[in-house]
Amino acid sequence: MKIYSLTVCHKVFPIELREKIAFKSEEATAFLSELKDKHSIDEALLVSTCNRTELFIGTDNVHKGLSSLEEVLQIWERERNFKLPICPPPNIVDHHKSVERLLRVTAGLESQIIGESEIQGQVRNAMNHSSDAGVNGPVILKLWEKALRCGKRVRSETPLGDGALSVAYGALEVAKKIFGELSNVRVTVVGAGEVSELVLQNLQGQSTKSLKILNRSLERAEHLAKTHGAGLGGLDELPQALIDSDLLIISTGASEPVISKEMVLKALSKRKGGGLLLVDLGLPRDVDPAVDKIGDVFLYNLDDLARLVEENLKTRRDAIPEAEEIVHHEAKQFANWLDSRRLDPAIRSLRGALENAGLYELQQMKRNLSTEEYERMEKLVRKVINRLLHRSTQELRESSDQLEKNFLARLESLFHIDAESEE
Amino acid sequence: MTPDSYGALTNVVVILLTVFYGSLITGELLSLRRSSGSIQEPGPNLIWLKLALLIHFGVVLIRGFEVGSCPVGSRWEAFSLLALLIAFLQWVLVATSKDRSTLLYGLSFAFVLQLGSAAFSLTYPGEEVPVLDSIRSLHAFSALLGLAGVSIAGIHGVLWTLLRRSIKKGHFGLLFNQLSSLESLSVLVKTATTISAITLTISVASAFILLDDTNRERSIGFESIATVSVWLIFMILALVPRSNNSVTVWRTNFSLVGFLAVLLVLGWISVNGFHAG
Repeated sequence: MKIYSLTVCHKVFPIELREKIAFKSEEATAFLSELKDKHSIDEALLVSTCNRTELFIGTDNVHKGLSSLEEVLQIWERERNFKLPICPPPNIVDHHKSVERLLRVTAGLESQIIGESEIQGQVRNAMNHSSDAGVNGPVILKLWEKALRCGKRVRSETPLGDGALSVAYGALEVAKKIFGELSNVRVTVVGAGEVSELVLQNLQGQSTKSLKILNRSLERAEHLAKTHGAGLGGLDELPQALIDSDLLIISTGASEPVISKEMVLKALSKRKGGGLLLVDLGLPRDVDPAVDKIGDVFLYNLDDLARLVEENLKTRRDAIPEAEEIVHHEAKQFANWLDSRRLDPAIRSLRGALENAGLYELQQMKRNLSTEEYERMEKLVRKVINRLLHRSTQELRESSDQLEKNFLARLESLFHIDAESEE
Repeated sequence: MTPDSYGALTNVVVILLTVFYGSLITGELLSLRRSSGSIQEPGPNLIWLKLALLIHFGVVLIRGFEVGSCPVGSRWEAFSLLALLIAFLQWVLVATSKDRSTLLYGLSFAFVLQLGSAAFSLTYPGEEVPVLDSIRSLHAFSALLGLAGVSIAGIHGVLWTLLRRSIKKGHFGLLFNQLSSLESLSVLVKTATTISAITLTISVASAFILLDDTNRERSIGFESIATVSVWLIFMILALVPRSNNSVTVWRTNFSLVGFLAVLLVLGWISVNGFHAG
């Protein structure tokens, strides 16, 4: 069996096209069922996210596989009312590349933000649609398992998914380096503009000790506070916030610094906790740069965080060759498994042929043997055949990728066996 | 008696222990490389560390039975015991805090000491050393455990200072990625400080008992004065609670002073031997 795939992803196709091709959950199952009924495809996996729609199918017939994918593409174009450009062509790829493709996708190597981990969950869920549609055959299932294992290995053995890649996440990464867990951290967000909203979105799902929003206009901040379960206050509460917070993220749009060195020094004299992290995301800056001179204060502005993001991005980029090595290794293991699977019918036939020959000869001697002796001899024949074949079949399986093309045919003709009928 | 009755066997065991610690450091470095520098959770390397500690403890125990007291009579014995105690304390800190980002550094210092022990063992003349009674053994053991605590506090203090500097200056290099957090390191410094304060108190108390019946000139060497000074500093450090950043700066600076004192004491022992011997 071979794997073929059809790929429509963010690297080649614009969002206008991708959004037309993307499948909703219930559509995916219906599509896979149709694939089974109309094209007799028994093994398939559809990974459809905002950045990609990738269809993987398993088939014994190369021509049938490729033509099915071409037909699928035509149906998509017709039913979803779009036309893929001739150049670059939609990506229908062959067996080897298809296997590697799914592994790379799951590892995050093909993601828009390289190394992102969301794709692993999306690939995991994709199998639910395959099983609902009844196209979860053993080969595609094995490939899916391999892909998930590969993704897990890449994440645990390389830094491909490490470090924050947005300024807001970068601020949280620095906060974790200072305070350890975010659950110990009291956070105040000053300002209720777009930047603050983005910061609050990034804070969602992170359990902080407390969260408060301060803004000049309470009406504007009220909605944000409600959405994110935060406390609310006016800008006049800023001096108190400097005393009560561990992490203060500020972006007000004011033309002059809102937080002065004197203000921070005054707050520090009343503070009981550890260090204070001030993240200034304002442009022009909201915190007087002189604040950075104070020992207990860590001041970060947009440039500092951009540098952190850049460092993380570089670390991820540097990890690509290592991640690709893991992908190659896992793909090779899958290929070996697939090859060894090809040998099974021939090995079964060979074993059957030898057993038949042995038992036939034993049958000739039956009248000279008691029932007990015959049974013992029968067991002996099977044992001898097992012993003879065990090692050689094991070696065959292990080196299945190096076998000559016509090896199986020669094996079958040598022992006069019919693997097809055995299968 | 000559505490080197095993001769070549002793050398082999001490060298093997050094190799074992060296392998642990290599394993830790490889783990760091694989995970781009941030390993906070316990991994398979900790099983090897436990095994190394168990073997090292067994060796020290056998040696103790052989000489009939705490084995600190010669330089190689004192260095080896100190290496064991530092590795042990480092393991205790990892096990209690679940933060193994500093394991590499504690183990490296234990390795250096074990290397020193191996060097002293190879050149050991096998001279006679007095057998220590139980109070002297307790005094020597608690003093070494105290020095181990001071060393661990010092190492963590240095790391805290370096991490703080890299966060302050926005240097997102190796230390920023590898070390856990200022908070976690500060807890580890405080824990190590408290352990060393308690054990040094036991050592100083037992020293006062011994002073009545010993030759004072022989007992009060440079290392005794240094150790008592470190004990005083660490008692204060242990009593001051963890409050704000400035207190931690102050604590880490003094733990660094303590660590330097330990290095001086080790230098002194290397040249003059352990006064308990």
